Amino acid sequence: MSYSQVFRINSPTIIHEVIEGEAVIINMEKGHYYSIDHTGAGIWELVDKRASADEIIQSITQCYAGDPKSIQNSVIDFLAELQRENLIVPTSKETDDQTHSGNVITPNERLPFTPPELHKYIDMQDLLLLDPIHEVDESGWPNVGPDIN
Amino acid sequence: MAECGSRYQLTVIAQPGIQSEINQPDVYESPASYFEAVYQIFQYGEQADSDSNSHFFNIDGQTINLRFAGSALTPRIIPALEHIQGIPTNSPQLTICLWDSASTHFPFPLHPWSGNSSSAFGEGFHSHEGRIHFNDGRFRMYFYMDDMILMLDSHEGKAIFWVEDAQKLPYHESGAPLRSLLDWWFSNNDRQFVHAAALGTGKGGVLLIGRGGSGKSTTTLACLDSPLQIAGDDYCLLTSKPSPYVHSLYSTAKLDPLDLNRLPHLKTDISNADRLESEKALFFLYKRHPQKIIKGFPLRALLIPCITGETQTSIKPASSIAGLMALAPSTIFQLVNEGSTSFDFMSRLVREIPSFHLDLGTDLAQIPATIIELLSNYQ
Repeated sequence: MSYSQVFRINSPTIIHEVIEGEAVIINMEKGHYYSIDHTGAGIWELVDKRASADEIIQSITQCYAGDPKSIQNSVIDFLAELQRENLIVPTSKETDDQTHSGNVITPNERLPFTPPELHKYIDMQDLLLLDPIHEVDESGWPNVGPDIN
Repeated sequence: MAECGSRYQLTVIAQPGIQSEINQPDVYESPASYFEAVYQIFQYGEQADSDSNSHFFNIDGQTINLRFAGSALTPRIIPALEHIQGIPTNSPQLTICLWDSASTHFPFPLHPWSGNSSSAFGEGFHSHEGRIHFNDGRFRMYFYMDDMILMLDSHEGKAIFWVEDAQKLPYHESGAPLRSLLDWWFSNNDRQFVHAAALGTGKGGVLLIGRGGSGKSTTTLACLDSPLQIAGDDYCLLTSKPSPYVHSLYSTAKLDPLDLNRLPHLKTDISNADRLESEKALFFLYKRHPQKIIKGFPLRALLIPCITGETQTSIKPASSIAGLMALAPSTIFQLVNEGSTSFDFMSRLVREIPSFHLDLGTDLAQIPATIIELLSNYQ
């Protein structure tokens, strides 16, 4: 992963909310949902502000006490995990109308750095499969599904 | 069915020996024209069956009129809603037209994507295994194989509920009837259909939130012998302004048969006792305990139940994000309206209303007492 890489939240498939330093993320297509802790929620908010990987590393390093190399590796690993789960997707900063501006974590807190963790929950997946009302497609008339001749 | 130029004729045998034909276009140019064609079929069915009936309900000040063509669906839809019966009016906000083809012999017209040949009717309607959901902002339509079709015209306040055979309606549809249509109709920025149980009094109450199996229904039924009343076991409607308020939708409860041993006195109330091998126990609470049902209350707290196996029931504060985790996924994946809109509503809710972990003990009498004690802090 390039350190200059910028990501965006994979909306509208992904809906998310950060409250009091914790985040809930829901994948509307797969029925998975996630929680992330304080460090991870901070990274998530920086991604949402279209900060580059390098900017995120700098911000987290300034805000948390810890070995810079360990922080760098943890942030890169976490971004890669978010990407594997299709929660974030690469984008180019030039075309973005949202830009990173400042930290989302108060620097003077300087809490010890703990590696971010992505907690994944799949217990709703069956609901999504069972309840057909969620097969939403909202374009065109008539709107023919892929299995319709 | 015979092709007839640009139109086709549905041959309907409404009663044995009595056959009539309904002209329908074979090409629908818009959702409105298709909706109107479907509505026309319903009207024929309604007029043809002397057992057709109409009922009015009131939810959050809105009058909902259910018009049944024939009577086969009526006992499968109405009982869960009896506690919110409303006054008949000529101008209900929403009219839902319901019928089944098995009893009325009035079929559903051609799917709008089925082409313009008469053969497409049979193949297009019966042979597909897919499900289609259409939404253009005004019309929402949902086609589930050849068993169920839902349609809503949100501008006109008119909806269609059709099933092939009322006798095959799943028991859980009788427990929470029409929930997708009501979700579509009611959910907007200030209202939200949620997956939650609701307990309280006129002064205020709580939502029990969380996935199935977390103890919501056991808690709900354990409160039948307490001062708390029930506004819902599985689903309810929330409004946010001027402050969060719970509106009852269904006066039913469902319980896993394995949990019946904890509430043995309720076994005589089970409506489907002969089918518990394949169904949850379904209770029509208003029928047996009308005084225990409440139409709504101000929302004071969100409770996240958890079965602990301990004797004692206890309660402790939970984070807002824990509340959102318990409320949002199960609501969104069961009752999707616009997921992001629903999520925004619930995100605002958990910021405004405190969340708590409710650790459920085996002494069921402690559960309502614990909730009542919590509510006393907010009244």
